[in-house]
Amino acid sequence: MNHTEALPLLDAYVDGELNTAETLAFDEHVAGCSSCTTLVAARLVLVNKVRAAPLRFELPVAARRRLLDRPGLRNSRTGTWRPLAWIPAALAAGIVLCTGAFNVGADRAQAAALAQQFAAAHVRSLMSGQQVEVVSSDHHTVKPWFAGRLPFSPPVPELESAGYALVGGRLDYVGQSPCAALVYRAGAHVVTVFIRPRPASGGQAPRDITSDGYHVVTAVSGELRVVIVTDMGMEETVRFSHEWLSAANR
Amino acid sequence: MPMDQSSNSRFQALVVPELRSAYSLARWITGNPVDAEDVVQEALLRAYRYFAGYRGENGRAWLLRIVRNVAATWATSRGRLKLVSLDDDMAFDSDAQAEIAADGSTSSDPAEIAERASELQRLRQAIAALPPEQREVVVLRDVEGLAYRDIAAILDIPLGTMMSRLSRARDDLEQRLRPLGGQPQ
Repeated sequence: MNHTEALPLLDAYVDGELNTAETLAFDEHVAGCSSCTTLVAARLVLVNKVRAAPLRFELPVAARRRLLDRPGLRNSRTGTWRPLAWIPAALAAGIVLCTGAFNVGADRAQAAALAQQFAAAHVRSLMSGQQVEVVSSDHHTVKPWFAGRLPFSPPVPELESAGYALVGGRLDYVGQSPCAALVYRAGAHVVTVFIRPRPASGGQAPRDITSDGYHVVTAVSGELRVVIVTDMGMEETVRFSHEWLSAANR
Repeated sequence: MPMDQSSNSRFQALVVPELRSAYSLARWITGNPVDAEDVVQEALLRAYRYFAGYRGENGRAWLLRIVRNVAATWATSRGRLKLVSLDDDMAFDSDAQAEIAADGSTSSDPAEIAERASELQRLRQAIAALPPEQREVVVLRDVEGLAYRDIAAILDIPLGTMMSRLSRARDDLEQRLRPLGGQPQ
């Protein structure tokens, strides 16, 4: 390898991107070429300096949350998720995607309005201070309490191990029908899980929305419709939903 | 066009962890955090849309390629593919000091911290002052540590072109970082 051949390979040599034969030939040339020796040394100094410096711009936590706060991008592992809310969320953010045809119209508006009612019921309970009628972190106490009051038996998972404390339960009425409301606490956040039977046919299902900082996430667990409302961040909300659903289906 | 579940978990495993790299690259290209976030947001949505057709395993190179294309469109549409904004100098400075101060392995001597911070800032400014085509090659190689092959793929240029850009960029950096008043070697 002569000097003209070696020069363009300088950086590949420093970066270890030459194959064995090229590296040997380059080494051989550098050994007898003082100009190349100097160039290689200077390059190594530069490259080591650049690599050692913290030159990466760190992704701020808030930006990360905003970026992933698109329901389509979140980590949904349960089989019970509906393909759900990323379309409305994207629309809300003013981003129109080529998603093919979907039903726009009265149904969607109704589903969103119903979700709003769940969010309102959650907020009402927070404002009234009457979040629970039966106070207990023990599902053996909470579950029987519902037995005489509702025509169905809601699952009452304890999620202590996942970091969510069961506070208790109450009856609530949303959209003119009764539902079980379970209340959990996660740090400073309160999560309400509304549960009621799915109507045999027809009947409006709510859809996932984010409204005034509250996430409404809907799911189906067996014959039951589950609506989770909280002001936790989206990722945390999804984690909670996942934990709750897997525990309820266990 | 929601993904099925196996695609979704592949997306979570291959693409989402590369957000940090995506953001840093976008930040280097656009020169400010607001535009960088916009670029990554758009890139992420595109990535999500096209992911079903991606068969490879290198989520980083794949996502960075999209980021880079989105950023290029962004730059042309606004006529802004210029130097990293000088408004960022102050941010650079305080970032640099904070990072060096936070690095436990270094001395706590304020003079030494200040000196290392100013060296770091010179380095950042030297890279920021490179022409865009050279800057992105240096960032992909020396900040992100990508292989030549991946960089050429991300930039959609032949390997030889990528190599000569990297060489020019590093020549330029050596020039800019030469101590003031120092003699050429």
